[in-house]
Amino acid sequence: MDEHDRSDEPQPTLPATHAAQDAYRSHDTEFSDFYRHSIVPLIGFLVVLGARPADAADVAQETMLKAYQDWNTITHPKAWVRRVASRAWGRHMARSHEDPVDQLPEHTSLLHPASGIEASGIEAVEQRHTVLQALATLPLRQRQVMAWTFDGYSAPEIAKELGIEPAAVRSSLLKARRSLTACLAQEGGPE
Amino acid sequence: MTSSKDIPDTDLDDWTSTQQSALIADIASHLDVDAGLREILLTSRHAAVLEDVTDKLDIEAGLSAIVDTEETTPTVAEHPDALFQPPAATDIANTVVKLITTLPPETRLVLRTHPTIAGCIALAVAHTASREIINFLRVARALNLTHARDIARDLDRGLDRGLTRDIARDIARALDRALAHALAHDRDLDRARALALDLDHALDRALAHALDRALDRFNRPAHEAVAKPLAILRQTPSTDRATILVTLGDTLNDLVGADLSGVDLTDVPLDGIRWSLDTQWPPDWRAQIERDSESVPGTADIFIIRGGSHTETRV
Repeated sequence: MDEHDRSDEPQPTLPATHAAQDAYRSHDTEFSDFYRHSIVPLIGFLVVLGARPADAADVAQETMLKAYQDWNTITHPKAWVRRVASRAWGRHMARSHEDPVDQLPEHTSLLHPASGIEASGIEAVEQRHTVLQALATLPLRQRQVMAWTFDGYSAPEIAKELGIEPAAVRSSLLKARRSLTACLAQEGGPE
Repeated sequence: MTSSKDIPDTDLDDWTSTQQSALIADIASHLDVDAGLREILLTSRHAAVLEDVTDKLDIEAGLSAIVDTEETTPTVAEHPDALFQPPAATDIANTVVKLITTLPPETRLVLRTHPTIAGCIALAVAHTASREIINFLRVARALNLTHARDIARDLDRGLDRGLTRDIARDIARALDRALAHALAHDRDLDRARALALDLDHALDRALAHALDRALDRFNRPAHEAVAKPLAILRQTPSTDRATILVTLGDTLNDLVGADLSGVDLTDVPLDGIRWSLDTQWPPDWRAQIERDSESVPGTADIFIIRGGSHTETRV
């Protein structure tokens, strides 16, 4: 399912001296390939969870930095970045709640300069997509399950990631789908 | 009005799939992926350079020239058996956590606020904070404060772990203020680091003594289950001891799924306990605990108890 999932075999440790430039290059090439394929879906994942798009970009970038630093120990990077980013977003939300002054915009260079916090930039994404407004009506657990489902994970895999029973995942998925369907029906149904 | 029954599942799947693709394309149009990648590769180059430089240095020799490292550089030689190979820190942590989780929840409730144990954990929290500050000062000096803000935020998160003892919180906050001062003035980093090292040594010694006292207190047959993890921690190299003790503290606070239905919670401090919807509380306590709890961010059914009248004192 995950084209970037790698073997469970232990990965070699990154050499610590400049004598191993080739190893660094290989490490960078592999990571860069993963980053280019995965950064946008990771931001999408966080947005589906409920993160504002600019915050999602910052959290995704922080997560990718950690992934780069731990690259040799990560066996399933696609799931790893989602797991780590989910937690980072939770901490980000807690900090924002405790200290709203700390919300001054200072975004990663990943965002185009014009994107910033202007409504005309990436934040306008929230208004443009009906699915996000429908997802916003769901409880967090159901949004979590939908976010993993959208990205191709099965109920047992999601259960493992969220630390809950597969039956609970299926139940949340069912409730989420029912709510989404009702929500969309009110708006005239899918086009 | 259209009812939900009018929309088949396949239509919903098609619709969400289309919407998901449109969302991803929209987000992508606002990103400069190459710039983001360059940012990560450049940032991490600093770490690679540091790693490379570190390899060329004899840090212990340099440190010995400045401070007495006898107490803080435990090695294999510290153990009476020279052939003894200490297990990895993660293995020790796993063993300690396993031993603690086998204790009945009512025992864990008592231990988490027992003055001897709480004192050890408080010192461990302060010790890990001092280690972070020393690392921060080392990196800050090497990187010319490039990562100062990120690491300071990590430190803040560390301080928010729910310190149970005012003294540990005060020590950690004092270090934080000293660090902020050093950063604000972009100078005196060497002096700040020397002070932090002194404090780190003091905390290391205090923690070793606190563990000795705890072992004396619990080293009897009736308390073997408590003495065992303490004995393991006392034998653990001091470089790992504090971190594992903090983990022990987190484990004592973790009552997710525990059955406390038959436990008398009168005057038991509950502040900082994590619980879940399947944690069983005494029936007459549940409503108050729900009132005094808040969700753990990023989770839907894990909660943490914050304050409340029953948390203030314990007989």
